[in-house]
Amino acid sequence: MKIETSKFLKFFRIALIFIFLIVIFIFIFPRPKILGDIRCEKIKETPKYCLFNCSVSLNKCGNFNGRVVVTHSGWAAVHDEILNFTCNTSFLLKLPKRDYNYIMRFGVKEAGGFDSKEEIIFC
Amino acid sequence: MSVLAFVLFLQLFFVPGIIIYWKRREISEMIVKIIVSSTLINLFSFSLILLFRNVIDLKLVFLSFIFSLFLSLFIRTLNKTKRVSIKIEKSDLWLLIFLLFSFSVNFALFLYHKSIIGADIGRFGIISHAIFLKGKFETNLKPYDMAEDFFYFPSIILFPPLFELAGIDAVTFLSFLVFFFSSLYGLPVYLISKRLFNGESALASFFFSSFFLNPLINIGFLGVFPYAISIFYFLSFLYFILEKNKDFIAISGSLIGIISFHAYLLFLLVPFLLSLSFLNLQAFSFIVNKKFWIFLLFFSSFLVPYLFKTYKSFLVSFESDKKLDIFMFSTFNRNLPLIQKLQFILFTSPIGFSKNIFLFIGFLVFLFALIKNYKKFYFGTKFLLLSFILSFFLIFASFDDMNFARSIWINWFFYSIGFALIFNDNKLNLLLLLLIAVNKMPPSLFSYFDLRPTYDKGQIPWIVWNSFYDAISFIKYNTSENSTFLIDGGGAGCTGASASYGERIFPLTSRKIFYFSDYCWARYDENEYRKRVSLYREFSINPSDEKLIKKLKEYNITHIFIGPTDVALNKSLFYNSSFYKLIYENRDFKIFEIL
Repeated sequence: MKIETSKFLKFFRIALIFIFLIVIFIFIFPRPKILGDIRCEKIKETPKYCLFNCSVSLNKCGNFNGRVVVTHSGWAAVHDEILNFTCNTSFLLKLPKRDYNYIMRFGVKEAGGFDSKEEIIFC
Repeated sequence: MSVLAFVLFLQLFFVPGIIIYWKRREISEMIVKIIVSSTLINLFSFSLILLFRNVIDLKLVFLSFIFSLFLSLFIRTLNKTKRVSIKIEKSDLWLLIFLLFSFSVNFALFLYHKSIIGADIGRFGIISHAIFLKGKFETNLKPYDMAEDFFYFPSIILFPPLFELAGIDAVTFLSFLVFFFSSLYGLPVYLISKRLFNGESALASFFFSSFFLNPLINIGFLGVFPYAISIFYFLSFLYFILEKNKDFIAISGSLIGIISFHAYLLFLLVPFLLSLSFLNLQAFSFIVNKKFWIFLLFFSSFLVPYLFKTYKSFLVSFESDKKLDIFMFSTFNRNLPLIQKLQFILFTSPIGFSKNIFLFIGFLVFLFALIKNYKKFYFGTKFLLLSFILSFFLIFASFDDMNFARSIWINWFFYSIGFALIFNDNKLNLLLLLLIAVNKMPPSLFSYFDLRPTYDKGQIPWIVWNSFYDAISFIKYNTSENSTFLIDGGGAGCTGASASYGERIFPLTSRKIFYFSDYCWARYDENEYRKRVSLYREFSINPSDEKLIKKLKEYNITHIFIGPTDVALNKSLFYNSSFYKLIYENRDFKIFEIL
């Protein structure tokens, strides 16, 4: 009986080792690389708002579903937009004038994975 | 009503456990087992009654109370452990003094700060209050919130609405719960230390873990309170599997405690189980014990009715869209260079104090303590070292994921035991306590008294301003019950908070809020979410645009709530507008009525 229990225990130990290695493997599995860069240029400023011309340039051409989010405090969005990115995509963005560093992030989904990149814009 | 809340609290965390364990164990172990088994039995009872009678009312509380009493009595008959007379020895007395002191400091922190910060608690307040107002447990929170279906861990969802029946709002109840568990955090650390090092450094372990390196209060204070509470169950489970005479009710109870508060901690159990299986295969044998699986399966069955209600969104957080939600709001730990990543994993608190000198010292002291005690406590030192190394690899590999990155708190557990192995003179430690109390060095428990609300634009303050409660009181007694508030800060991703903490208006006053969130734990109308974000942004640029005001009125918005760090809504644009009337202001908060 003791031998059987010991066999079972060794089996569970091996199972745990596998779980451990699989978890590590899943996490360190290479993620999709950042697909490009985002730049925003202020083209107009009034006492109430700033208008930016933003362009996303991808390292890889094609059609990718992506998202642009601008946060105005820790986890709160003041702008959230779904975009279809090609090699170079540009869009206009109007933000309230608050003398504040907004954080803009863009994310692109590729092959089931995703990544994101951020840019600070002042308005 | 507060008497009812007190009775309910005793029932949830004490009564069933007292029936099972009274005079069956030594004091420290008995307290942990009482709490763990009570959580288990109550979750089981509430879920079972809810399955047949989905009405959140006092009858539910009463029925589940009766059922849990019967279940406790039944389990008591199964518990063959001999009764022992409770003798308070000198070491127990020290422990009780430390425990009482820990509770006093934590309770004082609760009274002083009133609530933990809003990152998660405001959102869970919204869920609890929506369920309470609906009078039944369902995952569609409309019309009170945009979530149409969600999954979260059961204790956080099931317990708060019961306290709302007793007149205690979810924000207050959950805050108290964090401080309560924070005061008990040292107990499982004490027991583990006692088991691994023959009691030599146990009291000092309680001391250092409770008053100096207490991750539970750190994580709880600054956001993720379900994760924080789960730490207590995690360490209790660790002790129960190390115990010589295995108690399968306690093992199942603590394991289900982890799952029911924040199951992500299960992931961190792997290094400890693996270490145990390598060092003492016999101690690991609980894993093939029939009794363990019978108890675990029996008590896990409470999850069935809960999963039946929430199964559609069970793995929602792991969907790539929801993962992307998180990364659209924070990429901090994802982009760190290797050296900084190592610094963060080893020397940083989960949230708050970065690269703390005491954590660096703790790391060195831990390694020194293991070397010093290697021969004397062969199993204990080897177990801790192996667990530390395996945990490190696991955390390092998973650090990019924000949910798993919190696991770095585990270092605090190792370091506090390391400190205790070196400084194990209780009288000297009392002197140290005095020094810590006077200097209030982070991460000392006393340093949390120094947390102050921030006025930096865009920052979510750790502490809620006192003036916030004045504004809430005004809303409660001076605005119509049909009012809807547009809050500054708008909405927040996942469970985050808005900069004005305006999301708390709903759980505290029952007034609706215009809120939008790209939930990473719920299903919702994404188009509606983006529509609201867009409306909020346009409105913040020009709040006197009649077309936009008309749109706000379509959402029945009647008031604008602006906090001290007015990030998007500029106060001055409202003062000078003929479309708004200032109905309330204090130093920090302004409330405008739309005319």
